[in-house]
Formats: sequence, C-alpha cells, structure tokens
Amino acid sequence: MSRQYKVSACVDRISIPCIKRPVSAGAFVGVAIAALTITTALADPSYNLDGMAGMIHMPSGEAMEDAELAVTASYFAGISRFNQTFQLHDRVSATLRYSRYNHWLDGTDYFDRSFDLRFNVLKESQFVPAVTIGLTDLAGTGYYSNEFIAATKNFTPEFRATAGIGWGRLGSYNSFSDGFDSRSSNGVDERDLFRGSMAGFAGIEWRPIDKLTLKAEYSSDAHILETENLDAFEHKSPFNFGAEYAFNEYVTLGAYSLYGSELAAQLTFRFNPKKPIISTGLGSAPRAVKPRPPYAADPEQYSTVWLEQAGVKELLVENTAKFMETDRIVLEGLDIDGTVVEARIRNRSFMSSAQAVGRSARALSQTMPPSVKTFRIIPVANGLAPTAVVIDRSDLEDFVSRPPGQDQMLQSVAFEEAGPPSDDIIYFEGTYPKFTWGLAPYVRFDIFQPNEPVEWGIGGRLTSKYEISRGWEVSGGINAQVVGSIGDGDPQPVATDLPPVRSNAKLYDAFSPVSLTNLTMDYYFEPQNDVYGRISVGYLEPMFGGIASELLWKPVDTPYAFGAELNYVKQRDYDSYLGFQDYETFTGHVSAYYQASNGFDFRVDAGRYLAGDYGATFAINREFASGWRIGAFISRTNESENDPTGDGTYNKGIVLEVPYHWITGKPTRSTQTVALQSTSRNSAARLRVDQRLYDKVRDNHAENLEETWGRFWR
Amino acid sequence: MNSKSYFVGILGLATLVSCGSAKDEVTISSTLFELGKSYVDKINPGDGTEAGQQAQADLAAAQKWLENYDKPLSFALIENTKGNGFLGIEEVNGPYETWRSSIDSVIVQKNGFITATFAFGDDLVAAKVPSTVRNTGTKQRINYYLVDDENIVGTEFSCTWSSLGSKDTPVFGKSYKTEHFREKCSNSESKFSNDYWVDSRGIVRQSRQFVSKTVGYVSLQRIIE
Repeated sequence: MSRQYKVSACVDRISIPCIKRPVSAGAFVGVAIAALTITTALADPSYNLDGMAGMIHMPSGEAMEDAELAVTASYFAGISRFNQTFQLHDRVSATLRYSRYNHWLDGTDYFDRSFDLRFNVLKESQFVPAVTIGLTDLAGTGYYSNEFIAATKNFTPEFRATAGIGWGRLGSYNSFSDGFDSRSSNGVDERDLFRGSMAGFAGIEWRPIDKLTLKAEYSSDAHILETENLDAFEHKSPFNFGAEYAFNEYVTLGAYSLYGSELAAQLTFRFNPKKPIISTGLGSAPRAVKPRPPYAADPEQYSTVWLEQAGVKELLVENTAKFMETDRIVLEGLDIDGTVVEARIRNRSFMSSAQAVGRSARALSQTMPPSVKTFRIIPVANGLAPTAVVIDRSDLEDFVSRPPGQDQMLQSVAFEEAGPPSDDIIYFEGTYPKFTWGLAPYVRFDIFQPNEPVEWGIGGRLTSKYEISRGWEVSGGINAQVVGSIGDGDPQPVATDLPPVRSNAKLYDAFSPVSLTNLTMDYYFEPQNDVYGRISVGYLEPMFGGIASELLWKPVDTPYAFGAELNYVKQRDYDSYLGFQDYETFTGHVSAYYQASNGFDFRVDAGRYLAGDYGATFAINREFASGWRIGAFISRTNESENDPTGDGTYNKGIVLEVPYHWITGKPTRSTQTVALQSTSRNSAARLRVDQRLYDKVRDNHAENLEETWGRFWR
Repeated sequence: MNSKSYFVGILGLATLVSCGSAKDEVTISSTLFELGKSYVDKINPGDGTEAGQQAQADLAAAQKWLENYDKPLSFALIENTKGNGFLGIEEVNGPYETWRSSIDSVIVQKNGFITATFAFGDDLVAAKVPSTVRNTGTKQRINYYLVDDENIVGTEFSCTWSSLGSKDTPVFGKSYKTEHFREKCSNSESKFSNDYWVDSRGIVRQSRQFVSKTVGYVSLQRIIE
C-alpha cells in the first residue's frame, strides 16, 4: 500500500487559520483570462429545487463530491418535493424524487415518484467548463420527464455561470427548435429521450460572503402541467431569483422568487458517508501492545517450559478472555502451542473486523508468554470461521507506533483459510451453550409509498439467541410498536391473480402492534473448503415460515462468489403469531456475487419467487469502510407486467444502511436500514432472510479486512 | 506484568490485571480526577471568589497527595473542552511511551512529542516527528489521520523551530528551570504552533501540542518522571 499525503481542507468552523490560495498569475494579464485560469470552485455546487446539482430550478453542469448524499425538501405553488440524491461515482449521480401535488386534477392530493440519472462527461479545467448530461424521471410517470446538457464554469472563486439545452419539460418554454423528432406527451418511453422541442436555459451564482449565495436564472420550463392543467400558478416570467444561506457545511436554507408569481423555499441537508459528522474515535482506547524483552537480554523467557505447568493453558484462556472483554470481543477459545496461538473471537463491538483483529492482537501481546511468536486470529460469526489473520508478533511490536505502521502491518500479515478448530482448542468457559438477549428501541419508516408519504412506528424490539454449539443456534425477535402510524386504518385483502404474498402486508401491520418477527433454529456449517452452508427452520420472516437452505462458495481471497438457495415456505397468519395460512410454495435462486475493489458490490439472483413467478434481480451496492451501504435493485419476472400491485414493469428499490457508530462516534455493529421500495408487490417478491451467507462470510474475508485496515491499530 | 507498566486509576482494567486491588485503583482514579478539575480551576481561578479559594485548597491537597506518589505521572488538559486528567505510563516500547488516563483515553509520546491519541474523537493516528524537541531551523513533520472513509492519510507540514529562552516553569507546586522551544508548522491549508519547555535533564516538563482540527491543542505537564 503506497503512502498518501493529503492536505486537509480549510473549514470555517475549525479554529485552524486557513491560508488563502494565491491569486492566479493570469490576473496580471487580464480579467477575462484570469477568470478562465481559475479552475477551482471554492464553493461546492448547490442543489436545485429538483434535488440535483443546479441553480434554482435549472440544472448545472457540475457533479457533487464523490459519495455525497443529500436530502432536500422544497415547496412552491402547492407542490412539495422530497429529493434524495447520491453521487454514486465521481461522475454519476442518481436522484429519487417524491412529489406531492396538493391539488391534482380530481381535487385530491397526488403523490408522484420519479428517478433521475446524471453523467458528468467533462470535468472543469482551465479552459473547459464542467459538462453534464441528465435524464430526469426515468422509469416513473413521466410528469417530470426531461433531458438536458448543461455546462458550468467557475469564473472566480465567488462567481459561476451555467448554460444548457433542454428537452421535454426543459424544452417547453421559448423553444428554439422542434428537435430531432417528435415526443410523446409524457416522455415515459425511452425512445423519447432527447426528442421533441429544445430550449435554452442559463443562470449565474454569486457568493458575496462565505455563507450566502445569490442566484438568478432563465428557466426553459413552461410548467404546462402546473399552469394549464392544474392551474397551480401563473407563469409570468422565465426569470427566477434566489438566495441561499449555508448554516454550516451540512445545512442550507434557500428562498426564491419563481416565474414572477410564486415564492419558494428549500431546505438542504448534505453529508458524505466518507466523513462522519461525529468523530468515530470515541469509546475506550485500546490496550497497548506489550513488547517482549529482547531475546539476548533474557533468553530464558523465550523458553516453552511454561507448557509443562498444569492448568497454564486454561489460565491463559481466562486471562485473554478478560482482556478482550473490555472491548466487547468474545474469546471462544485458544489453541496454544509453544510458539503459535490460534484465537477464535467474536466481534460484538466494532464495525471494522480489522479493528477487532487489532484489539485482539493487543490482548494476546499482553497475555501470551514471549515464546509465542505468531498470533493466528480467527473472527467467527454464527459458527463460521472463514479467515485466519496471521500476525508476526515481532512486527506487531515494531510497527505499533511507527508511522504509518498500518501499511507495514498489512504487508506483514497473511490471510488464510481458517479451517476447523483442532481437537486441542480450549474453549472459554461459557462459550457454548450461551444465551443472550437484548431489548432495544427501534424506528421503522415506510416512506414514499404510492398513496402515503410516510408511515412510521417507534417501539421496542426484544431479541434473543441461544447458541447451542458451534454453528447451531436458536434465535428470535418480537417487535412491539408503541407509537406510530404503521398499522392504522382498516386494510382489506387485495384481490390479485397472483398469490397475495406481499399485497396484504398492511393486514399484518394492522392486526396487532406486537408481532413475532422471526423464530428459527439455524445451522451453519462448512461442508468443505471455501463452501459455507445454512439451514434455517421456523418462522423465517413476518409473513412466511418454513425451511430455508443455502450454500455459498466464496474463497477467502477472491472478489467473486456463487450461491444457491432452496426454500419451502408457508404463508403465516396475519396475526404474525404461530399459525399459517394455506398458501405454500417452493422458492429458490442461484446467485452470483462480485465485489469490486472500488467499493461497489454487484449481485444477480435468478430463480423462482414467492408467488411462483420466475425472473431475476440485479443489485448494486456502494459500500463504505465505515459500514455505510447505499444500494439499488431492480427485478423482473414473467409476471411483472401483469401485476396490478406494482407501479411499473420492474420491481425496484433503494436501500440505505447507516451504521450507528457513524452517528454516535462510539463502537457498535448496529445499523439502521431504510428501504425505499414497494412493500406490497406480489411479483418478484423474495423471501426475506436475515441469515443469508454472503455478507456474513465476506465480512471477515481478505477484501473487507484490507478495506478497513486503517482501523487495525485503533 | 512488566515492572515498568502500571496504570493510574483504570477502572475497567483494574479488575483484569494481577497487580493492585480494584478498590485501590478506583479510589486513586476518582481522587486524581477531582484534583485535576481543581487544578484546571487553579490555572484560571477567575476573580478570587469562593470557587477560586476552594481550587487553591484542592491544589494544596493535590500537592500533598503527590508527595507520596512516586510513579511516572503526567497531567493533560484538552483546551477546547477543558477535559483533563492524570496519565500514568501503561507501556514503554522503545522510544514510545503509552500514557493512559483514568477515563481510558491514551496519549502516545516519543521524546516529548505526542505521536498518537486514542479516544479523543478526531484522533491523531500517528506522527513522524524530529528526534528531539531541542531544535532550531526547519524540520518536516507528518501527522496522520483517519479520514476519507477510514483511510489513514498523512498531512505534511514544514515546521520552523526556535528557542525562546529560559524560564521557570511551575508544575504542580514545583518549579523547573526550562528552555522554551517553539515549533511553528504550516502547509498550504493550515498551520499550528507547538510549544515545549525542556528542563536541564532533557525532560519535556511542559508542552502545548496540536492534535487535530476538532480536538485542538492538548497541554501536558510531566509531574513525576
């Protein structure tokens, strides 16, 4: 791993004085040339009312910082928009928009979901503006449908300008061309992209002081739907004006005058999963690495005569377990000989497995006699132990404080297949059987559903696990909603041609605020090298119970894996207690996984879904070392087009997983998952099993350990 | 347990290590923590009010208590938060000394330089520093932080060293003849200034060192060597 040097950015709220960049030499040549030679925008691009990089209503040519995630809420003319935008990649961003029209054609409220993609085709450089191509409202109703090409140039650190051409909505005002071809009325059809009338838009942004940005733009959106069909407002002028105030690097509030007749406001919250809002170094400090005395100074200490003492291994197990306990690392057992110790651990504290391995190594340095020169640390999860991290004790002692010691340490360690425990392992007393339980609050959101913006519930979740022996466990969970809107109303069964595997989801929520979410007996096993298996029997998820089985092939050092699962399930009663309904079926998939080195994880599952339909699901996740995961999936089956419970041909969704340690700064493996997806679609519905093997196994594989190695010494 | 290794008031570890009883360790911990707070008040006692007088009384109690304490001891103050505590040496590894506080925060020092912190939040992960604080001229320093999705990234600084002369430095009631050195570091984006007071035995008796943007400066006093 090569060493990196990176200069920290100036941040206003930090007390370190910031040094201004020197004025470009071009300033002496002339204002115009000087403007072109300043290539760095000191202010980040801002978000427009559609939640994408832009001015007020119009888009810009810029891209946000890689991995930036923004949530914006805007309001004007009776239209509320909630936008979530994620900079998927340096050049690609996606926006999910949920709009509420207060007065739709029939006088009721209307909720619309739309999805955008943007591609930053040119980065800004000395003489070239940033250029972006955007596709708005893909795979939705098409009410927002437009495409654009926008270019933005920062002329000074405080001033930037944008110009662009739009189609669809953005080609609807003062069109200067009929375009390349005609366009259907709503533009849903992908063949309509960049078709129909074209119009130009432009705008400027000026930042007179650090926290204030003033904007003016010429809009090419005639708002035909809002002005002519809905009579929501009067389009008097194409010019919009606005001011935005940034309270800090995360929160911005904007106020705008739109189209000569309306006022608008927007609140923006932006952050980056790569940069925790709270420093994540809180929690207790690790134990120091205890160096051994130099061999030459005291060779007798390196003798293995201690092995002959009765009960010495048991004592070492006990001492090591106590040292690890301070970090909430559970020592399952040690296999000790005179020069090598193998420690099997369970990480219950740290999101980073590398950090758990590092803390375990520190503990072993405290407890192991000097003759033990190799630590073989094996993280275990659900009885599965895919990887052994082999650490040379001398290197541990040498590199612990030597900057940047993590690089040398990573080069020094080896990742091996762990293999089964030997007969000589000494388990720490109480490892098996072991009963654990927990009671914790939970928050559940069902958001952006077709007819309801937000349904929510807050309650308590009781979980328990009884680990019978290695790989065998019984686990269960009960949710009790204390307050919230989930389950409100009097939902009725939905009649569909497909079996109602998900369409009656609200009946489950409505029956009782208390539900048995899962109760299973699970067996995890490793039938041979690189192959992992799971069999689960019981109440697998809130709507289905039965037997679920899975096999996964995943070598310790490969980025790809293959798996297969076969399940026989029966639909549970709506009360979510112990009874079952009549519907039963086989369901199963074959899966292929690929973890790219740039943080992207791809997976394809093909097979038979719960309703008996056949098809495939493609999922892509952007994963961060911090534990953040932002992903999207899309499914299609032979029944997708005929499924009235869906809102389009494809079953699709977005999933966010937020690690709590990112919020609190203290070590925990807990996460909060927020899924934006249809919860009541029958086609392409897959069994929801928490115990799937891929994520469990690869968490301790070489790729993941290396990705989070920065925390090895922390 | 290495004879050089011991802890001052580590509640959690007291139950794990074989030396010392848990009860004694807890007592020392809370005592020192309270004394530390009073010491901070003494540093800035305000307007001589009752609180200030109490602080002076507490300081006197601290000094009396320290008369009977003979193990290496330092005191740390985080300026931004006024957080403070006494530190005892947990481990010595070559030139690196690991100092642990009663509330499980850790500072690693090398020849008087802070080279790492733990449990401060925005921690200094590691630092490449000169071999001694008795410097003049220009030296390079690299501070390493865990940033940008858990990557350890080094920030390089060019540092100008100067000697600001001799002075008497009081440390918990004792006065030491020290030489004051200043390390002024900067790069294109930020700058900071560290101060070190070195006594005649070469011990950095007092220092004020930059840790990170959010933690800010930490002041250290070496009470017992």
